[in-house]
Amino acid sequence: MEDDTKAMLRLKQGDRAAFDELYERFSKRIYNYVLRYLGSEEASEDITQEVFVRMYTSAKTYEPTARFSTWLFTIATNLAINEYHKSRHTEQITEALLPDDALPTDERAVLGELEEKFLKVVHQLPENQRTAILLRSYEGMDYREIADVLKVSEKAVKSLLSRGRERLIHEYQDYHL
Amino acid sequence: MSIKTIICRIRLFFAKKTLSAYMDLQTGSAAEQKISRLLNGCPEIQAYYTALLNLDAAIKALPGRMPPARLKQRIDAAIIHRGAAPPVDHPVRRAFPWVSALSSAAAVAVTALILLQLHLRRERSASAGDMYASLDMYQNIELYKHMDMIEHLHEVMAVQDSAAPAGRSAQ
Repeated sequence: MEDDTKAMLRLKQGDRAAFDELYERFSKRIYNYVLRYLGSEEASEDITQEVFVRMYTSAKTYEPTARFSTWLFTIATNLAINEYHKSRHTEQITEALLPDDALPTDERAVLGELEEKFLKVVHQLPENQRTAILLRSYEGMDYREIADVLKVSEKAVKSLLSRGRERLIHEYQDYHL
Repeated sequence: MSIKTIICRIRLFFAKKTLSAYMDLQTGSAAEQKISRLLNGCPEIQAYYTALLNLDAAIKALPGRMPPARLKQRIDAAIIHRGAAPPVDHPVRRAFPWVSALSSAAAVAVTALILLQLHLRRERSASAGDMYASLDMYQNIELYKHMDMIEHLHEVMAVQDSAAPAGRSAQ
């Protein structure tokens, strides 16, 4: 059994330390995933909060049927899609793309610009293509896991990734990334 | 445009999905051999594959951000606000798992005893009721006997009363 699942089962037994462990392991990943999905820091913070609250409140009924990360990213994806439908965040992308303070000034400027352009391109993709690309490229999920998150077949994931990438390559040239 | 270029573009059109999966190492060995042949034979396919690799590298190179420091506190507060108890500091330890089974069995036994006692008490009440009914009947019989005796006494007294004036008059 993987460590994340063990930690979740410990949380089910009421272990406070397990919740903190899972937060340390997944908060940055979930936060960045939603940030790239929606392009809004505010929405990303709200959704990351909701993901962890749901993780906590679902602990009592949690059964390790799938990989823990797949389970958690499914919650994050569903919340991000709902948020996307509620309000379009494209206008907030620029605000969201202030570079990370941890990087040197020159690098920050370049990466901030690149990220901004990239997110503009990513936001033009249909939801499923966007989700598949983010889960594959950032989270390194395999096709089976992405299929579980999106509730589609592995064959469909293969098509989603191929079409999304083709479109990104086309837009990529337009934005001169 | 040469015929070779046209053929390569047609091949690229049909190979895009496989190329994408090939980059993700999600193809079988047969497909891998086919893709290797295509990459070596068609510059168009090679260019597209290079673009796929560059795109993936560009996406992966984008830095991640740290979530705000206040987020953890917000989460803890939200959990409490929703009425869910905050996680306890120590896990619930089950050093003696048989204790819970034993206590369950004891609870069942106590419940059975109480039910049995209630049943017996009800039976006892029923037999006492029968006894009281019999006693009631006995008392009625006695009463009837008593009434008969009174009636008989009345008759005797009436006879005596009718005989007495004759005696008095004789005095």
